[in-house]
Amino acid sequence: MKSGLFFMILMSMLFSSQNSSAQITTQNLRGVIRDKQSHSPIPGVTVMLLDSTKSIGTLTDVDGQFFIKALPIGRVSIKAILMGYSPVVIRNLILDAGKELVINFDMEEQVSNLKEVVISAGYDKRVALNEMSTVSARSFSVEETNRYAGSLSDPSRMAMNFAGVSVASDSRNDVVIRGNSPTGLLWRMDGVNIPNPNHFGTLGTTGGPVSMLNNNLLDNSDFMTGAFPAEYGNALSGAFDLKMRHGNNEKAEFVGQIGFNGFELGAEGPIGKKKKASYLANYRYSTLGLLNEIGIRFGYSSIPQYQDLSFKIDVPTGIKSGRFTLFGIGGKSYIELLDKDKKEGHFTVSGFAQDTYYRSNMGVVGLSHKLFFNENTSQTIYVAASGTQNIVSVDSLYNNKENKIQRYGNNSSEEKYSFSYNINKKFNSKNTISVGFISDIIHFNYADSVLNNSS
Amino acid sequence: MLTDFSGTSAIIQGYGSWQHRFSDKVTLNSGLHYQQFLFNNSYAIEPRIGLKWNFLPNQFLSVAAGMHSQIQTMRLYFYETELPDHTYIQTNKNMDMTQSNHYVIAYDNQLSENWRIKVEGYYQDINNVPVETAPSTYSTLNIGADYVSPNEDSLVNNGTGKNIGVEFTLEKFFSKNYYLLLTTSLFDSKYSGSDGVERNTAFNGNYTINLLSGVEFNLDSRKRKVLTLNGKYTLAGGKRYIPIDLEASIVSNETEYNYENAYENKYSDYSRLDVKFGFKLNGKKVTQEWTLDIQNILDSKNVFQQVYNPTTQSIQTEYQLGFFPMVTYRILF
Repeated sequence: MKSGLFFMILMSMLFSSQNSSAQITTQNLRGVIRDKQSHSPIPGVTVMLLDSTKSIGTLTDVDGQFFIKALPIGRVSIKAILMGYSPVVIRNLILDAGKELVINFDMEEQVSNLKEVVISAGYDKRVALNEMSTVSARSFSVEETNRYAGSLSDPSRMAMNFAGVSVASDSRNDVVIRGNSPTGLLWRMDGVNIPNPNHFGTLGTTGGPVSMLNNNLLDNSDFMTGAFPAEYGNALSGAFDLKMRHGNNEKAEFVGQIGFNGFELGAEGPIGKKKKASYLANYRYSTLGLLNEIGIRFGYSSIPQYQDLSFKIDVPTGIKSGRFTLFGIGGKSYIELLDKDKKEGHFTVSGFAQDTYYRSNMGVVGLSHKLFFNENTSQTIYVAASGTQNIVSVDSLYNNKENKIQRYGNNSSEEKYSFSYNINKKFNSKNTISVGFISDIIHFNYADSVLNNSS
Repeated sequence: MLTDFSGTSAIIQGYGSWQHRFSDKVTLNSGLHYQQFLFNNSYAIEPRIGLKWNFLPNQFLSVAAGMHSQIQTMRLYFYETELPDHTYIQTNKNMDMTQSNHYVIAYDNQLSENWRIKVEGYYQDINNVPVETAPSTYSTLNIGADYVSPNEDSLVNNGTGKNIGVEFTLEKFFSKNYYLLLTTSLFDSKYSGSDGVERNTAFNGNYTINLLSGVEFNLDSRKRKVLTLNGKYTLAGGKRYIPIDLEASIVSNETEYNYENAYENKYSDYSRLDVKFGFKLNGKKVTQEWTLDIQNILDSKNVFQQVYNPTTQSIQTEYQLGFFPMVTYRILF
């Protein structure tokens, strides 16, 4: 069994002799600190390490960036302080050898210059990243998503552990919030409302058996379960407001993963020599589908086949011209549920022998441009295109398995072209306003046919 | 029978949010959302408001309310019904948006550096829900959790629904090599179809409890080898179902339901334990991770659904996922 093999590998790892040098393994920690209300970078913030024998600290530069070089790997906690802002403590970040730790967070300006210093628990999971949300919202980190048992690196399955959420079915990740239908959920990625990001998703649903969202690519994101702020519309139950992270703009990094869910490759790194722009891309192919392609047969026809690609290109062009970001997610899935090889009593739908062919495709590309007029006022323009397609064919086998009749056919698609705009202005430490619009032009094509004369 | 429709329409949304902080301890978030579906010009104007009060050090009390609307599943608008003269009409094209009013009250207490509790109570009052013209149990509030697209004609926005519940979260953020998360949701979700009878929704499991925890061990002083163990236990109310009318099913030789008792009963409670083992090895520049994630390690039998089997002329029970191990290897460099 696979798990037996796993433990053999594990044991060999645990007891292998340490042949690497005695040098301490280190990693860099860096990030950007922004104002919670205006979203502009804050210069001059002191960032220091907690629980450290040496006092290591640094200041953020004009772009709000901080950089702490060559820390020993393991857990690390940091504290950020600046006069007039509530201090922030972020605990137990993980530093690994294979990847730089980039941590971006917000600080909130104080209304009055209180002498008492209230330390917030970090980029606090009590509150959403969206400053306008009051209740029923929390942010989550990818580190959590990866840690929870049974989450399968899927944000939807991870969210099922939060209060107010229940599971509709083990085989799918439909999120049931407070007793509402899962169709009431809004998916938003980088400010753009996106179609159902799940393989084998049907038009109009919000879940599926396998998520297309690649956990390796997500930044800290928000999950809301009710009474959400005014910028989220056309949803009854809740919202996922996801952020795709930027690629590392200083050094190329790679990830490879193989598991039951898929065979996966990812790359990220700087674009050009100025090291400001970055790319991030990740591709996945279903493991069972891949094994099937190269000729390994399972003696079982229902092999789910899927593949997906996600990417992000981030180009900051300077204070005057702003920042351009392009992101995309695309996925294709296919499955055949064939009864022709099965005995009666084992059919997909009890009692009826039928062959079902199910194909579903989804893609979205979004371009955004964010510009600061001054440190307190910014605008963002979003242009996006997305499409979803389902192709289903059902053949009845009835009495004669050789002579099948197409009983049902469906070829449906929706394409959406969106243009949205947001302007955000922080007037002072007390007042912030965010105003915008979202316009979607939708093209539909629904064709289905049902054969009526059931014999 | 055939549906063939292609066309173009548009949705426009506009919003404005204002955050006003009376002091460092009191914040008011207010806003207005507008949306319009140009296909049939249905629209909604929705005020949203929330107030957060830091009434004691590390303790917060919040209240919020908002109106939320949603356009129906797109293809429902275009569903075509055949008339006796063999022409087709779209009987759903004038459907309005479903509208839900949310009311929430929350208490949050940061007990210490790494522990917190949160309690939220809510009420949702849902109106304008599409139901059938003729008296029936159908409601779009029960759509979902299914591979099949809904196909119903002659829908009108006469249905209602309401959700009420209380939620409890106890969380210990990762520190001293472990974390803990306990969430409990108690809720009641009801709807009324065109028959005017108040019933449970398909999703009214009444309760969900999740307990998650995990520990991490450093196997050497330089933290190159890390072993992790994570567990998750879920106990929840079973799925609501529409009972099968066995006698009628035998007569017609296909599944017939007893809609009168729709969602009255639940299958037995859902219970599942997941366990995940991980091992991480940090080289000089490379990190490798091996993970074994075992879903439903106790192989608990949770009912997924009951179906009528015409061959045996009996009701057959199908179960959710059984014992299921998954192995993952990951390398970062």
